[in-house]
Amino acid sequence: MEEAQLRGVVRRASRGDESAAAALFDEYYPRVYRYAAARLGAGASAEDAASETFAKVVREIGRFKWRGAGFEGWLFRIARNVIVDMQRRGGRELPAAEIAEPVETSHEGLPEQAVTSLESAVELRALLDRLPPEQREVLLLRFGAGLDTIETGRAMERNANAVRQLQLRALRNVRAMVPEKVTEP
Amino acid sequence: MNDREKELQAEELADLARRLEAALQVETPDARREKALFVAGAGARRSAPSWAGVLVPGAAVVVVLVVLALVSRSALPGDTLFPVRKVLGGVGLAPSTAKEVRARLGEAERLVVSASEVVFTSPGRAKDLALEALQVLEEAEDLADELDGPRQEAFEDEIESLEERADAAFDEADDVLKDREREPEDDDSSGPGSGGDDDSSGSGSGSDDDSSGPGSGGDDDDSSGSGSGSDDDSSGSGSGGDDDDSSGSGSGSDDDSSGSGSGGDDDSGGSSGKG
Repeated sequence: MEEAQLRGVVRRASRGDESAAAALFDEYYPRVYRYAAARLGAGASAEDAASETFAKVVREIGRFKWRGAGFEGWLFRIARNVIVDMQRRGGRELPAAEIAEPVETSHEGLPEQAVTSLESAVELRALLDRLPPEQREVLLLRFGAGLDTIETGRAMERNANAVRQLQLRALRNVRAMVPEKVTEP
Repeated sequence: MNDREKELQAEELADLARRLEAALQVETPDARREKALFVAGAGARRSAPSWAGVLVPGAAVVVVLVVLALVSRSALPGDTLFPVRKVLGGVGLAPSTAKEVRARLGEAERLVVSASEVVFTSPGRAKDLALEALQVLEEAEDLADELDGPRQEAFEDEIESLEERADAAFDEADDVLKDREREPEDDDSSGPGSGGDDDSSGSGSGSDDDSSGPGSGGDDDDSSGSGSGSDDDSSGSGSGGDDDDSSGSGSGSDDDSSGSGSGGDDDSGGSSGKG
């Protein structure tokens, strides 16, 4: 959705226009769900997270002010907070906190066997959880929520070039972790 | 790293991104219920105006009504604000017309009773109170004209009754005053050499009404002289003056007087004249 069009839809939805609200839901619910599924695993938890996110959106949309981050930034910040709250309530530590430093980038080629192992979403999430928070976030938003670099930039309050740089570093780190993972028993 | 290695690495990363994307893609569950809730929640915002949106105009309306009620509460039929007062009275924001009439009747009753109580002790004050009561009753009558038939008739009977009582109190007080004006003259103004009300001296006597006798005195201060003079139907002789420092002799009067001598009003003097 173009930004000008999105502004109109958000404005109308905030004033009670039901068709605009439906358009917002159709546009963003699948992305929020995929983002939640990438962090919590597909299923009931991700559905709960997406539902709670949109419940907060409908409560708060009257106070939403269009600033630099735009609607996506606001929406995914809510989603992120909902997910973090759910993880805390579930007694789960945030794995991202375990990684203070970026993993060393390897320039070795990625073995075919290791790449194949990425087919498991569970294993992949485990790898992503070991990334620094911003790198993990950029991959979740780009490949999980399906946002383009501009939308991801708005969601992360970064410009598109910064998003590309973060994405590149994140991919290199993932690739570097794969051999380590496949050597595990 | 040479160009070939860089190219290979870029391809690997692109491939990794595609695999990541594929691995993170999950089927979105049916969310019709969530959508219905979201859309209904958004729609409810339209019928839920903000507090400020309600309170500010509401407060302004209240202020205007209060000011109008205060300004128009004493408006009477014929006044510009009377229709406003009537409307506000209809919705309970100002006293209703019937209550206003009732209040004025109560006030008139109080004034009439007060007037009756002081008729003998302070007749002048009683006349004032009776007049005030009549004025209040006039307002009550104007207001009662705004009411419907049966209520208007009931009030008019009450108004008429009070008017009669106020008139009676006024007349009674007036009679008392007149009697008091007469009493000093009846008691002291006869006989030779008597004067009028105050400090009159001289010979002869006279008074306002039906006095007779030789000599007269004037009505007011410091009259002196002899003979008589009076207002009505007086007869006699000598002189008298109405006011200050009159002197003279003989008699004079206003109406139907006869006699001889002279009299003057103010500072007049003369030795002879005929009334």
